Amino acid sequence: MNRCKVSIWILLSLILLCFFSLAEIQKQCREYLVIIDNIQNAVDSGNTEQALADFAMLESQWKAYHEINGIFVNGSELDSIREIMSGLQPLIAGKHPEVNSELHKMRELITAVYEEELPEIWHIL
Amino acid sequence: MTIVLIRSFILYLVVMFSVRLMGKRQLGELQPAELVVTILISNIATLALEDIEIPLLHGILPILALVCYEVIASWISLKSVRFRRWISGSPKILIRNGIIDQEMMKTLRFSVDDLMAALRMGGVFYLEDVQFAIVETNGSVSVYQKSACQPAEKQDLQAFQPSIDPPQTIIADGHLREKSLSAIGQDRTWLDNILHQEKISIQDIFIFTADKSCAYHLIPKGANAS
Repeated sequence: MNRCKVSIWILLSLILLCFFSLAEIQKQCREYLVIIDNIQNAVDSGNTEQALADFAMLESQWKAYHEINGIFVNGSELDSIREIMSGLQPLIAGKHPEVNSELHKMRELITAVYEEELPEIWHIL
Repeated sequence: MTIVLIRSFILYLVVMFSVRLMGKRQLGELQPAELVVTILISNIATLALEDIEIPLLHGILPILALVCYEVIASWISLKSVRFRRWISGSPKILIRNGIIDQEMMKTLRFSVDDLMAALRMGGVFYLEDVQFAIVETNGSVSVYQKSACQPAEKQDLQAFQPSIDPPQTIIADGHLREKSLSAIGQDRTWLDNILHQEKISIQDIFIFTADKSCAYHLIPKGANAS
């Protein structure tokens, strides 16, 4: 009976942990997406300084959340986002047209990180 | 490398905890559900060990979840016979009243060689000696011999003796086990008297066993067991 109680407690803790991780990833992804949208708007309006400032914010946010992300999200998914991020600053500074596609790619990857965590039937299957 | 070392230690602790949580039943005999859980745990632990790209939590979480499901399922199976039959199946009779149930053998995909091997492992070499042979839910075969073929017991010979508890290990490798001493209903004074008679100290004893009738057996360190 004791083992059963311990198991139920562990299961409840795991369920809570799952909810926490989902909420945390959702919160982070939303914040990232807002900043990416800001960068996109600044790039579209030709405001490079604003775009670089927003990118710096995105980078600092990424660094701040990186450890938590690493606990819940597969390393390869984070690596793909980091790879795009590492090349984004010179593209923004050089007003390179590839910025748009890179930002789009990053948005898709971040959205995928969150969406893949959702307990929906097609993700479970 | 260091990360793999640390991750392997954490996973070792988690797997050990999981096996302990599943209990001693798990270690002795595997029911179908327990076998599945054991195989899954070893696979999941290996994946998380090998690939450091996978978060450790993705390894620990399913291991703990599987063990919890298993413990809860075994608790429910204690309460519900129907659930137990669904999870573990039910014992099947292969030989009833000395007659082999050939249909059941086909159903269980049990060959004659399997049956003979199982009987031999049960200490029976003549098929005609068997009254009942039952395939248990964990796959082992229990054999019940015909009355005439069963070995004689003390009560058959009317040589009754009162049951005596098995001896306890009181001292092992120079260390005293107080609980064992109290289990045979003796105290330290009794032990000290024996050690005094034998002219030996606790530290010099390799093994010292005794039962409730105070019969004891002592082997000093460095001596061969007799």
